[in-house]
Amino acid sequence: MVTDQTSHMKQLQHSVLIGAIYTLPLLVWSLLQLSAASNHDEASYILQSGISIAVIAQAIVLSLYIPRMFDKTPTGSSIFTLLILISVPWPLFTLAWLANAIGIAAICISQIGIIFFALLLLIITRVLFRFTLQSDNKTLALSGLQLTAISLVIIFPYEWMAG
Amino acid sequence: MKPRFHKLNPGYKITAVSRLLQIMCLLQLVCIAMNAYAIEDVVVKIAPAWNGYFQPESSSELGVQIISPQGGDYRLTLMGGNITSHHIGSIEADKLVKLWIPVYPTLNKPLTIELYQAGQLTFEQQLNFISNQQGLTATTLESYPAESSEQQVTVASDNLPRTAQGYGSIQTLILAPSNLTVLDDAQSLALSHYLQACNKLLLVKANKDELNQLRNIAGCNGQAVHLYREQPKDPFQQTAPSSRTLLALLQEQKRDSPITTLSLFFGCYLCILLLIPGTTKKPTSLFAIPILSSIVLIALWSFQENQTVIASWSEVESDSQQANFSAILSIEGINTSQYHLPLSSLFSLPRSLNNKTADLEFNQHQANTKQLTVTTRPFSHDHFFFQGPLSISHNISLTGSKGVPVVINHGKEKTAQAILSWQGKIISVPPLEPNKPWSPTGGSTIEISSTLNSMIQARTVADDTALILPHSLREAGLLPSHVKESGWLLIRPAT
Repeated sequence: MVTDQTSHMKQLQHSVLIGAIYTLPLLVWSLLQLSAASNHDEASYILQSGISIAVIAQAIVLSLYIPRMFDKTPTGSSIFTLLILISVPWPLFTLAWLANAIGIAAICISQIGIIFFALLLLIITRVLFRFTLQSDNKTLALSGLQLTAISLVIIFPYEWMAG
Repeated sequence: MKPRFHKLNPGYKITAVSRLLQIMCLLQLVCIAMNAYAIEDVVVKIAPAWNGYFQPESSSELGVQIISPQGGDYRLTLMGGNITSHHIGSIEADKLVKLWIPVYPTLNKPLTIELYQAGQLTFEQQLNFISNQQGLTATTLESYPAESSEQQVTVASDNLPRTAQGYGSIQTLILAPSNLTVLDDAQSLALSHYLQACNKLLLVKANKDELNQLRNIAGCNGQAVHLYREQPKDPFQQTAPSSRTLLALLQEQKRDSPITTLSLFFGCYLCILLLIPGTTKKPTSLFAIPILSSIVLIALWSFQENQTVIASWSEVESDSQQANFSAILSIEGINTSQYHLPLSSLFSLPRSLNNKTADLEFNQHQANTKQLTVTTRPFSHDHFFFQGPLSISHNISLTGSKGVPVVINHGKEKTAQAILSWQGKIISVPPLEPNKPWSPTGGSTIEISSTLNSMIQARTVADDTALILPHSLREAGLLPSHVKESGWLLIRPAT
């Protein structure tokens, strides 16, 4: 039990760190661009671009992270870890909403979509783990899942932002 | 069982058709009443200054005459440029009301004039101004043409402007002294502001006394006032500080930037995000960090206010109390809101420097008759430019335009630290005691900001002498207290 709790905490810490890694460049870029913005329309465009990139980054990170990290973790813990991973850029989303760059509905819909994407990936990963017993097949299947998920994100980038 | 209405009205059948007829009659009565209430036969005459000619980015004037059969409150709205001005007042029935309204005509866009009374639109007209890039020469005498390439406009004496902004497009004015005798008080005041702003006046059929009389009224020691037959080949020209130079002064003002606050906030957020996970054993605390941070950001944002700063530059001769000023008002928006700024009589007509729309209200019924309303949005930067005459009371005399200058404080209190520009040098002037003359002999040169240095060099010529003092429009009661300001007054020696 203690070992499970320790490994769960480590997983949570990793997800926070990964969230910070993909959020930090976005924050730096957004703040630098905002400091040069001369009017509200420019600032709105910058924040909208930042949010779009953030959502795509969330999808790509989930595509890379989920297939590799959730072989024996309980489902509840996995979902909690994913929520932490997704929630790290939320203050940036809040800033975009406060600056009237994006509506709250668009933000909520995009994040709900990301959560569903994460759950779908999690389910597919668990199914693949159950039905591929040999490690070579497992690695191949998970890599295929990662590539497929990332390809979907890249081919349909605009569908990740509602409105 | 009999229907109920038979019991209520025995012997009288109410049919559907008769009920419909009753409704139609009632509607007709309502329509007749409304038409009777409509205000008709309102007569409005519009006359732009200078026969509708104007110089782009310069002000002009609109004369409006209203006669209405119904008295009461009215609202006259002028829409054309970025500033929509609303003039609110009262009129009496069948009594002529004359208004002279400063306007900023816009290139290729007509001015729309609407009159509302009792909530109804009673008059609407669009007016096109004719632009002229070179500026205008205005004259009341056709037989004395402009010698420059400027467009000449001839108007009658009683059509000369009644607001200082009415002369905004005029480069040269040609008048005879006899024209001045027929001017009313408003026209005389507007003309005196034109002259005090160092604008060019050529006098026709005037003697030396009349010339000197007008030179005494004019600014810049009357260097821009001449007899028509004695026009100098290199005419004196002094323009007011441009908005670009004032923007440089404005940028010297330190303001709390929202980006600084946001950078600090996100910096702390990332530090917490990286440090807390290693120290806590509670998984929910990790999820709480982004959520609590978002809540803190919302709280921080709601306490931020729009930041307003004004930078002003005023110029006056030592022996005069009438200055000319230019000012830039900067509004940095944080929230989406309506920002209201009461303006004194000084700030009559702003010009937006970044195509920002705003409303300017002139309301005769309120103590603060003028109010500027700007819709701010997050990260918006709005700049408005003001120019015009300014009555100030300064107690400084500066003499010695050719030799060593002498500065005397005739007030009862010490002056602030000032700067003297003399022989190309910038000299520090200590706070001056009352009635103690001060000269720059042995005075030390000082380093000042490059912006202020550039400003002084732009506003003085080579060996000119000028005293530059900090000047507060807020202390003079011309600005509300929440507006930060940076202002300077340049005093030139009297001749």
